[in-house]
Amino acid sequence: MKKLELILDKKKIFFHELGGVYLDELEILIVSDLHFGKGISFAKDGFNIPPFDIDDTLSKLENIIKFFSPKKVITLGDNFHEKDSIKKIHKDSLFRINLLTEKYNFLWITGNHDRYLKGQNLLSGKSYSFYKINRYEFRHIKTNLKKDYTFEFSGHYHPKCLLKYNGSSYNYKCFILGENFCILPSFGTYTGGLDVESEALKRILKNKKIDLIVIGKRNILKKKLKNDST
Amino acid sequence: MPEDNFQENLNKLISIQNWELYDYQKEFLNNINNQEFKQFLIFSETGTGKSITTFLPFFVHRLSKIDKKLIYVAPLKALVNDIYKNLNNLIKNLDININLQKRTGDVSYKVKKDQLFKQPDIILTTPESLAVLFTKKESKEIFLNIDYLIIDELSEIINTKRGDQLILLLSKILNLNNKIKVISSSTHVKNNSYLENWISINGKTKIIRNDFEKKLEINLLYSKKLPNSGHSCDHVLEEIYQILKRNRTIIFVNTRAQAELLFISITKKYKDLKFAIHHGSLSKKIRLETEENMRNNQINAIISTSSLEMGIDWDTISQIINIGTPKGVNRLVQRIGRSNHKYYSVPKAFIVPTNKLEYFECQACINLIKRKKYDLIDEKIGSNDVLCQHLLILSCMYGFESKSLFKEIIKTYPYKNLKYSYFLEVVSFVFDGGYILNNYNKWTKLKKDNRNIYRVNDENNKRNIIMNIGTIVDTSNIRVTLGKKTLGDVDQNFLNFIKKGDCFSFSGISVECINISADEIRVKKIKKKTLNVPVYWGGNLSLTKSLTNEILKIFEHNQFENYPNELQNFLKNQEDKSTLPKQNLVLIESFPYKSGSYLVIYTFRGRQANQTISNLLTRTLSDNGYLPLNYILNDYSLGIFINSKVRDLEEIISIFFNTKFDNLNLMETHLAKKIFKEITYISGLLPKNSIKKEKNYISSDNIFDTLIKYQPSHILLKITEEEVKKKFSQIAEIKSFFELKYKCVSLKSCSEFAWTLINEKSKLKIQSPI
Repeated sequence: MKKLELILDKKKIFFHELGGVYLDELEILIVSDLHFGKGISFAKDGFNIPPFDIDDTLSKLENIIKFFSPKKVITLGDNFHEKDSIKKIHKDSLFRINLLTEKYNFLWITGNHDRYLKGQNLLSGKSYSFYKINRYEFRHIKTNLKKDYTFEFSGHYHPKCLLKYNGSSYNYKCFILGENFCILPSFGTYTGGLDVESEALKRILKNKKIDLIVIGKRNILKKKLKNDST
Repeated sequence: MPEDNFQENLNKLISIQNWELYDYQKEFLNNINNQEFKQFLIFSETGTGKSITTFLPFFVHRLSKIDKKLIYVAPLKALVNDIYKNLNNLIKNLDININLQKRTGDVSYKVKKDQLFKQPDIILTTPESLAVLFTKKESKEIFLNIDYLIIDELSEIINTKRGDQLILLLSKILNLNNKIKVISSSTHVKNNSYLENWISINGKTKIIRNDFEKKLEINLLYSKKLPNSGHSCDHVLEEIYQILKRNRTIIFVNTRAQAELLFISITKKYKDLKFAIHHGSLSKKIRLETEENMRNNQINAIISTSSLEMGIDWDTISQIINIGTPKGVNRLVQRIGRSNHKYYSVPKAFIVPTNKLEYFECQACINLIKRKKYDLIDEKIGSNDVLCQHLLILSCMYGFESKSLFKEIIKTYPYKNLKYSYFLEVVSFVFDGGYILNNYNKWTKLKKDNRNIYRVNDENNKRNIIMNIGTIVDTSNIRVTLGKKTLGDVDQNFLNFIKKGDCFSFSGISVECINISADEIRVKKIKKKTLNVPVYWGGNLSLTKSLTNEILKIFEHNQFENYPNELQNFLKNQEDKSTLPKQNLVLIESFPYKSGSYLVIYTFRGRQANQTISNLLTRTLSDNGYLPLNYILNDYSLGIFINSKVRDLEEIISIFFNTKFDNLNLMETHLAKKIFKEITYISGLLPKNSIKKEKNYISSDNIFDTLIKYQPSHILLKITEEEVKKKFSQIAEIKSFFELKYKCVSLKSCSEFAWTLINEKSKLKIQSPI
């Protein structure tokens, strides 16, 4: 599995192709937007899409955890697709989620999808709407930071980008890396993406110096985002 | 009714109408009351009155006040509208009381609802609207009441998914009521027996052939300075204008984008003529207005895609112009038949090449029409995603029991080889998804009662099923609105290309985008003309084989002096720089381009075969250390773009021609995901439309990857493989391609022929460059 190593504030930070960030110094793994239960939300509306998304997301999560062996795992919200997802998820799947979260000291940040999550007590790990360690802040949706010395990790937008090559464009999930913030791509198997060139993301990224960490099929690489203002 | 009475009333009918019956019409009417025949199939050229003929038995009976009911199914809404007008006139002339009504997507909900309670004598409909009718409980009564079921222009629909849906519905109707006489009409095709087999579900079919050959006047409209590539008509605008000035015309183009662009070019330059655009993405109101205006001589010309190519017989049209060719002989004859639509009058057409290679395609098409070489209609095995939808449709009202429904279905020609075990997998899929992981059993769409009859289990699911009926997967569902008026729909993909403030042309109007949401683009009118037009997904017709062969024959005959100077030079330059392809010699070129290079093969086998060959070549290239990034194709050739130099063209091509592709994994081809997407919508796995407002979106590619990983034997993947195989149907034909001789030419730059190719618009992705 591929990763890209960068230095952030003199400390190592890894961007992993599965869509997670690892802070070497603190031994923290960060992932975002797992959306457990998205498949079920289709099924109950009468669209029986394949029910393998929970297993697949869990397998990926197990793989990236195995890769870094972190002391702590922080998820940045929208961990569950709907507020009653826990109740609908098959008990075997919930058991498997709990096996992982107990062992690796999970810290669930809640998002707009799971802010009022029902059955939180059936889930191991701690739940917060916001969390802070040293200069690092963790939340679901990016804020407009005023303090210079903090660095914020967030999710929510599921960023992806389009690269053009000889007349066709190719789609990639990506991390958005600013001077004092990082927006993670979505991790859940059935999650889609929002183009960094879309109005919603452009508004957020206006007047900022941005790098994209693009997750290609064979490589993971850093690219400058051509911003209107730069 | 006694025979002599029928004859008497028939005489009355033709005397009122002042008609003289043609021999084929007499033959048909002489046999219609023969109990031996359950189906009637009329072959007759376009413009010989075959549509109206199918209604004659009904009218004869009604003249003697015998209550008969009829359903008429046509492939196009425009055809329904036109038949409606013509029948209305006939009813007025005959001065009889007949309740004639349309039932299509354009008809209001209230009118359709009223039809259920008071069945019209004649219902004019399309396959999709007929399918929706099956979900209403009153439909049973309606089907039990009908005497005649007419399917018009059968050759246009027979080998499509719409045809599959229609035959399944037909088998159900005939199962309910086997007294119905099915009457179908078609233009001549090469293989009439296919149509006969298809329609014969309920016993013997009477075939009626009208061998009258219509004369056609076809001109190739050429003016100097024909471009090397592209599909614009700007070089012959003046000539087109002169033709339009003389007479009322329909201009046929092959794509909706082409229609918009031609409209802009003509209206910009020539202000004295009135034009309108007609294509499937425009709103119903605009389309109907245009049709009405043309009928009433309010406009000089309509620019249309295939949406007007069938049945329309406006006697005001005296000529047609076709930009390029419609890729086959039958289709061009259909289009030409829109002009001078009377039995003995001569339809007139101008065929306009838009680039140099297309000149030869136009010439070839004209040659074939002159020699009366009709197209062969490829037989199609029934698609099983359509079968999934059929089960869902039945579950809404009729319910179905597996065994008896299976027996009904295998009576149809397209599904005659369906296996029962396979059918049960389809049933299991529509019931609960049919997954090995049985996590969803709480959320099934259907329920099974104690007599093993499957029915939809609640109103929401039923509404979702009804909203997603249809087998045309059109991604153009973004509404374009101007004030309170809906102009029409554009492709979802178009959202990636525009932002607030951008301008584009739509429905012949220049607009600026003022607001974009997930399902709507709000626009305002602007004065400035723009050449930015929405492009739609798919819709590319493939050149028929006889036509491609004819083009190669032209090159081979080497009688270049028959052609205009610049075309002689075009061929000569190609021959000097590279070479000319022949029927038994494949030309292969490579040349550097941008940061990599192109490898181009001139197959002259149509778009579909080129699609297949591109897939095969891609694999050979990848297996031999190349990185193919994207490809491009047209009807004559295919070009693969690789990120490096071609090291040894002879060598790689020799490997390619010697590879056995028998064990090609179809699911790894680029087509698989595209086809899967269509299947997810048709089979009801994903909603095209949903009753829920908030969009819970998931991409079909994502589902495809997940299924391949966790349940590769799932029925939807089986269906996908079958459909990919159908697209690769010419594997046998392609085998003959690999037996041909070939010539490799390494060029320093693009040849005349290659230039035509690499300037085509849509490049198709192969793999990620990173």
